[in-house]
Amino acid sequence: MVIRAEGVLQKEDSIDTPELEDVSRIGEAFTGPSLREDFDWLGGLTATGTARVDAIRRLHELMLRAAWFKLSRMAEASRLGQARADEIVQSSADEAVVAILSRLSSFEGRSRFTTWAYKFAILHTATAVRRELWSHAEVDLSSVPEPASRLGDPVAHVEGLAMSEALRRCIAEFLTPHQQRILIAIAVEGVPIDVIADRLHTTRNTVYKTLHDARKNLRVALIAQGYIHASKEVNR
Amino acid sequence: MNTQDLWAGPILAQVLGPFEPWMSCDECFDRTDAILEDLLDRNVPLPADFRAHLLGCPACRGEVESLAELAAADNGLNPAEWRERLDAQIQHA
Repeated sequence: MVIRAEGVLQKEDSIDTPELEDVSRIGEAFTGPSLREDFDWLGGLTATGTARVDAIRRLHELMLRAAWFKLSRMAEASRLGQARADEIVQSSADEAVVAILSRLSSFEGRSRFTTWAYKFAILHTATAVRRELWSHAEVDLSSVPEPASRLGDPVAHVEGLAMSEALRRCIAEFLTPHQQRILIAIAVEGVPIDVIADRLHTTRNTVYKTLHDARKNLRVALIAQGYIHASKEVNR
Repeated sequence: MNTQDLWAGPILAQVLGPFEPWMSCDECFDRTDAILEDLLDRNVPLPADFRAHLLGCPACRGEVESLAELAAADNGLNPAEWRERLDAQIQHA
């Protein structure tokens, strides 16, 4: 753990940390025990010499704890194996520390410092686990697959047929091929959003915007054709 | 032969579920700590855009739930209980 923290210390040489006077200004509002603790964190992380080294080591320990916690909450992470899980936790904690140090000036004291910091370790761990678990899976994002079908009971078949046909038609007519592919990958195939972002060399944000636009366009089309009401009720 | 699209259910759920007002994954990440502590400390309801985003983005939701549990544990609260409280806010706000 110490070795990893020292690795982070070397990496963060070029990181832009906030000016001390900026941190002091944040500290003016710090009055309660947890706020005083936040000010201590900021003070340590923006100090020089051993005080800073010590603060970064403590932050790394905190990030390791958060990374292990996130891993323990992901049922699918049990498929990783202990050695790979260890590596992911360590590298996620490293990345979280680097991210926190580079964004320290954006901490505005709207939450406890530890809550703000935890989210970086959680994000890096969750993303790393999903990326690892999907690393050998083929995800075809270049073409739109034909809808799969299964034997269905007669009642469900009759009730669902009109909606299925409407969905199929609206998807083809009102969504771009890219929107179709993203919607199907996420909703039907269960591909995680950050795995899609990786494969497309883009960001999670961009993929979510595509998904959002696809939902919106599809909803508008289904409402216009009378298959669902604006109040979200399905019209079979 | 009676067949039924395997697509229809999951896609319909995406279309019918609340996904507006719009919030990006980046904005969700930026605001999540303050929003969670507002709920934790002052029982402030989740903002509509945040809630809609969590309903539409399983990755962000999983991360927010873990953050809620960690923050609760730090404050001497029961993480599982707190997660249930958050989930209730997301589902039924």
